[in-house]
This record gives sequence, structure tokens and C-alpha cells, in this order.
Amino acid sequence: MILQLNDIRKEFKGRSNHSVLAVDDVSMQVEAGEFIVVNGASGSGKSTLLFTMGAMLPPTSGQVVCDGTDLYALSPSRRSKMRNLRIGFVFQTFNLISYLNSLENVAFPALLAGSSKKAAMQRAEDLLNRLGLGERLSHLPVELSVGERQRVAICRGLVNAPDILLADEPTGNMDPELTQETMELFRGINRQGQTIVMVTHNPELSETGNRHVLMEKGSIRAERIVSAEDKAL
Amino acid sequence: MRSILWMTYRELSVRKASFIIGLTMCGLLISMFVSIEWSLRSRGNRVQGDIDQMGPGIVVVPPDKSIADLRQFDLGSRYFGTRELVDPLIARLSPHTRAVDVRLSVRIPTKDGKLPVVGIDPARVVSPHETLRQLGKNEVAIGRELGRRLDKQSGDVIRIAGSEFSVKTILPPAGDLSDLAAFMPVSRLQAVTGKIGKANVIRIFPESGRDFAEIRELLTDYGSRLHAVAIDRGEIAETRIPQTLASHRYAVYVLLGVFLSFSMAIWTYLDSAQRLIELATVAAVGCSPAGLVGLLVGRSAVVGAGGALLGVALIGGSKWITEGAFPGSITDLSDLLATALCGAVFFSVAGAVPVALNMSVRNYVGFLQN
Ligand SMILES: Nc1ncnc2c1ncn2[C@@H]1O[C@H](COP(=O)(O)OP(=O)(O)OP(=O)(O)O)[C@@H](O)[C@H]1O
Ligand SMILES: [Mg+2]
Repeated sequence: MILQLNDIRKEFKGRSNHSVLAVDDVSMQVEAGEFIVVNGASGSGKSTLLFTMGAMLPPTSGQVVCDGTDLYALSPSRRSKMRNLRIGFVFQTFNLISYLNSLENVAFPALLAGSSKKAAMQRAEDLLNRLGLGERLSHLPVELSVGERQRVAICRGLVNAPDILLADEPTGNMDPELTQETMELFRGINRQGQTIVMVTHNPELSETGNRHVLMEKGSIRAERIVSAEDKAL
Repeated sequence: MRSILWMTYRELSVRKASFIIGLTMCGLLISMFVSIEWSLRSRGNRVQGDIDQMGPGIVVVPPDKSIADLRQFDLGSRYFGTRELVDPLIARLSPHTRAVDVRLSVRIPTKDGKLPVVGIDPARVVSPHETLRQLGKNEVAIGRELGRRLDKQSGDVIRIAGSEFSVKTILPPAGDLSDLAAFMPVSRLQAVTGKIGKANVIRIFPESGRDFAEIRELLTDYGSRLHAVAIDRGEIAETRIPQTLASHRYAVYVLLGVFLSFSMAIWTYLDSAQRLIELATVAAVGCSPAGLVGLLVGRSAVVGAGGALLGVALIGGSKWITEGAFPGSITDLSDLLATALCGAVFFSVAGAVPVALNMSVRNYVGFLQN
């Protein structure tokens, strides 16, 4: 088992007295090799849940257990280390560092992890080549197309060979064609053994992975294993 | 740590606009510091020069002689060799002294008794009497009393040790035996007395703030060959004036430093607020809070150092253009540069640290969530 969520609740307290219960008592396990697609309407708490899984957002109560330790019982710097080594994150807007080129953007988490520059750059280059960006290594993010930026962001998420890759609306800014391409890419990465949790509000993508989770108002409304026949449809 | 340095470097080379703003701001403040420092230094120099006119802080005479003997022009027959003692000694003292004034003081027999004659180096002499610095090869300056006794005016000719000298000036009365003495270039005196390469008085003018013990420490190697005596120029000259000058400086620099820190805090804040998503991403991919602080503080240290160089170059360059030279020596300049660098980096970092700490503990997720 890669990640376990125990009774996660997340309440946001506004400046005025109102508060929002974004995630309400969610428990869930992520097994090695799974490709989970979390679906749900806007505001249903998908992103909140994903950021909580990603060691970035402390829950109001509950635990996120990775490799036997509760992520939020760790010190902030140990938690940073977990984010760096165990978890890859792909943002909807990619969030590439504007002053680093593709190669450097991908290599950065590896450098943070203490890899030598040579090793980090080599691994970044291999990944970029694998995702078809061999010709774009020294381009800055502004010089890349949306799809290319997305692939650089995915490479960055994979560079430290994380236990789990989390993706928040990775196709939110894409046309249907590019969306299909990206999904194919994720499926390919998953077939090579990478565990993935992807969040999307697009119901059409629910069949992409091998488990489908539907959220509603902060809770898991339904959950099912996606069979090969489903995919064939 | 390494990756943070690398990030700073990469950012510097790509995101230039923000750095240029920071550099310019810091550079202008540092150039303000440099011009204030230069004018304070030249004022301090003038004041210290005025104090030096009162006399040296330390006088070195032959080992068995005292200040009283010096005043009597009775320094005996032991001398310091220029090459083996005086020159190395000056070299050793020079970082700690404002001036070293080497003299040969002798008494020359005449038909009216012994005439005290002092050889001075016109290029190096420290004296309230401007004319001593202009003494030509065959010129002397004589004390008022000597002039009266010999009935000589300036322009008259006087014979000393068989050579003729023209009286350049009559010195104003000092109220001691020097009123009966003649002053001439030391090389001339050495020649006419056959004491080539010899001297017997070394007047030392220490840098403000250096005390006698420090200077004496430097003279220990020459221990038995000389006798160093501290001259009390009075508390006002020795401590009060240097202290006042130093405290003025201090007040100005604290103010400038605070201003620099504050500006860098604002710069760091605006600059990091402008790229919150970027910082949030750096945190999200695993940079620790300490690493984030390092990233923000490192940039401001770089800006501080760059600003210091820019500020010194700005003022130094403008002085170079307007005056054809840097004020002060190269050591002054490198000393100033070092001070500007250390000060700018220190205050820039001090300004950036609180902002960086605040940024590092922020919850960034809000900026990343869509
Ligand atoms: N930082 C925050 N402060 C206050 N409320 C928040 C914050 N983040 C999310 N919320 C609230 O929590 C609820 C769930 O938000 P979340 O972003 O998880 O939804 P989502 O399912 O990702 O929606 P979408 O599909 O639009 O991205 C929303 O009602 C939102 O207003
Ligand atoms: Mg969302």
C-alpha cells in the first residue's frame, strides 16, 4: 500500500465567521500500481483532498499515512523531504519556474534531493526524451506550447521516481484532442508501474484509470473498479 | 544548499528586471554611504592634521637620550642608519601611522658657540610652518631669536659649517630653544656634517585611535637601538576629537543601514509577492522552509553585494572623471570597498530575513489551488 487516508476532514475558516467543510470524513487507500481518477462537481473538495494527500495541506483531523508515518506528524522540513522524494505533483496550470528551462525545471527536484548536477540533468533528459521533448530541453516555459508545458510538468513530477504521482485537473486547460493525448500519456506511465491519483471535474475521463472515485460535497459518494470492458466502451 | 545557490544564479541570469531594480536601489544607498564616508574621511584627515601640527604622538631618540635632551638639541653621537633602521621601521609602521617625520638634529660649533641645526625632509615634514615644506637645497629657516642675534632677515645669506645658505624665512617664536635653531633639508645637513644616511629623531604620528602601546609593540625588534617616548598631546587631541568624529560616523551609518534594511525588506516583499505561485511551487516540489528562506535571503545578499560594487563604482567613477583620480590611496579604496560590501550584505540580509521567514511559513496551497 502506498498511501492511506484515515477519516480526513478539512474545514476552511473564513475571515468572517463562516466556515466551509471542504472534505468530510474521507477514508481511502491507494495501492501500488493503481490509477485512481477522482471525479466530482466543482467545489466538491477534490483539490482539497489531493493537496492533503500531497503533504501540502494539513487536514483539520485525520491522518495521511505514507510508508508507516503520518505525514502531518512530521516536522515541516521532514514533510518537505517526503514531498520531494515520495510524491510527484502536477498542477492544472503546470507552475513551471519561469526562469528555468525545461531540463532545469525537471532536474530541480532532483537537485533539491541532493543528486549531483550531472545525474539530475541526465535523469531529466531521459524523462524528457521519453515524453518526446528531446528537442525542447533548453526552452524556457514561455517558449513552449500548452501540451509541451504539461509534459515538462509531468516529467518534473516523475524525476525523483515518486511512490505516487498526483495530478490536479491536468487537462483543465486543454482541448479534447490534447486531453486524449495526455490521458494516453498517463495511462502509459501507469502501465510502467507508476501509481497515479488524478483529479478532474470532467466526467468523461472517469474511465481512464482503473479505479473511479466520485466526490460530492466533500464526501465519497461512489467508488468502483473500472474493468477492461468499461474501457473498451 | 547547493541547489539554492544554483537557483539564485539561474534566476539572476534570466529575471533581470527585478534584480536591476534591487541593485539600483542598493547601489544608490551605497553611493550615498561612499560619498559621506569620503567627505567624513577628508574632514577627519583635516582635523587629525591640525592635531598633528601640535606635535607627534611618539618620538624616537637614541637609546640613552630623553625628550629633555631632544629639547636641548643634545642627542649625543649615536645615530640611526637610514637603510638599516629608519626605512624598515617606516615600512613597518606605515599601516598604523599618518606620517613619520625623520630628522637629524646636531649642534655645529661656530665662533659664537654651538648652533643647533635640524635637518628635515621637506617632502615629509609635519609642521605648522608651511615654509619648511618649501625649503630648497641651499635654504634655511631660522628661529626668531637666532635671526635677532645674527641680525639676519629673510633673503640674507648665512654660513653654516662652511657652506652658504639663504634665509628663506624667520620662524615665529616657539618659546623654546628651537627659537635659536636653524632648519635645513636633511640631505644638505648630512652632506655638510659628513653624516650621510644618518638621523637621530623619528617623529611618529599614529592613526587616530592607535595608542602608544600598539606602536611600541611594533618597535620591539629595534628595542635596544632606540628609545620611544609617548608625547601627551592632551586628552582633547588624543581621545575626545577622534571619539566625536567616530560617533558622528556611527550615527550616519546606523541610519543608512536601517534605511538599506528597510528598502531590502520592501524589495524582498514586493518581489516575492509578485511570484508567490513560483515560491509555492518551489515549496511544493520539496524545498524546505529553511531552503525558501535561503532562496529569498540569498537573492538579497547578492543584490546587496552587487549594489555595494555598483555604489563604489558610481562614486569612484564620478570622482575619477571629475578629479582624474580616486581620493585617497588604493588601500583606502579597498578598505572602503570591503566596508561597503560587508555593510551592504549585512543590512540587506537583515532586511530580507523577517520577510523570508514570514514567506516560508505561509501556507502556499491557496496560491496553487485553482
Ligand atoms: N483556501 C481556502 N479557503 C477557504 N475555502 C476554501 C479554500 N480552498 C477551498 N475552499 C473551499 O472548499 C471547497 C472545496 O474546494 P476545492 O477546491 O477542493 O473544490 P474542487 O472540487 O477542487 O473544485 P473545482 O473542480 O472547481 O476545482 C469549496 O467550497 C471552496 O470554496
Ligand atoms: Mg480543484
